[in-house]
Amino acid sequence: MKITVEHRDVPENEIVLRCRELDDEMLHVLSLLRSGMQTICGWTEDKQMVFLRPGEVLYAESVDNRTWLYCEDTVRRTALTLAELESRYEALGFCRVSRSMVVNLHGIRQPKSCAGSRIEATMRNGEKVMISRHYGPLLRERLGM
Amino acid sequence: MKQFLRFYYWGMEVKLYMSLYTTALVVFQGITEALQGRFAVNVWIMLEMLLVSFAFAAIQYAVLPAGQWSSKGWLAAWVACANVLYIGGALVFGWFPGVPLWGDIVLIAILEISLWAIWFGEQVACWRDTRALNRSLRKFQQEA
Repeated sequence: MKITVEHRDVPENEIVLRCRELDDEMLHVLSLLRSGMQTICGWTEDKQMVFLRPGEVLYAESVDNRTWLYCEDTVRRTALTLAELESRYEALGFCRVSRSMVVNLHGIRQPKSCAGSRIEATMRNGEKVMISRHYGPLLRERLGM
Repeated sequence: MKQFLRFYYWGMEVKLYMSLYTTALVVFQGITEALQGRFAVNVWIMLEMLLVSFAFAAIQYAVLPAGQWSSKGWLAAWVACANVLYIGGALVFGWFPGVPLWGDIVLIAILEISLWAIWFGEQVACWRDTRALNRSLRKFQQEA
């Protein structure tokens, strides 16, 4: 596939995909572009709506049937359930690590193996997240182990 | 059904460690007997070793369930139980008859080294797995 980047004085950035037909390669590029444009709707404590890029979210946790999104230094609430977060953003690295938690694999700085197939993940902001024995194998599978 | 599965899993774990510990005891009992010119192991002694090993494996499952090997308190409790059960068992049931005092000291030293080796083995397995996890994570993050 030929990739061309043109530098022009345009009012808005634009991406044009030129192809004879939508093959697997182009569909993959499209899905990547679409997922990159996706945002997660959340809100702050004072009910102010914010849109987060999935990459900003380190992990999501469900507490008392409420889902919280943990970013580097902020916590937002979202209406999405953990299952929805996992299914919508799986391609972007979201992975279920316990019954009450979904982790963004790109937000992990360092994983550490613990006895009993459990994994302790240190996130980019230094927080530690424990990946349960039940979900450890799923994480390993996502990492291609 | 859930209770049965839990019991079954408990049985699998306990049986595994019980077998390992019993085998080690029988091997050392056999060595001490052979060194004294006797080439037979008493069936009752083997049964006693099996029962003590079962008790220790069950205690190990209770105090050091999966993932608790790094807890210093429980690790100390595990070491203490091993010493009480195995040294106590050897004294009460007379597992190593005719062994001189220096032989007893060697056997106790082997017990302590074995306990350290079990713990160290767990640590090595974790270190290796951590390295593999980090490698795979970096690859995953770079590929995306």
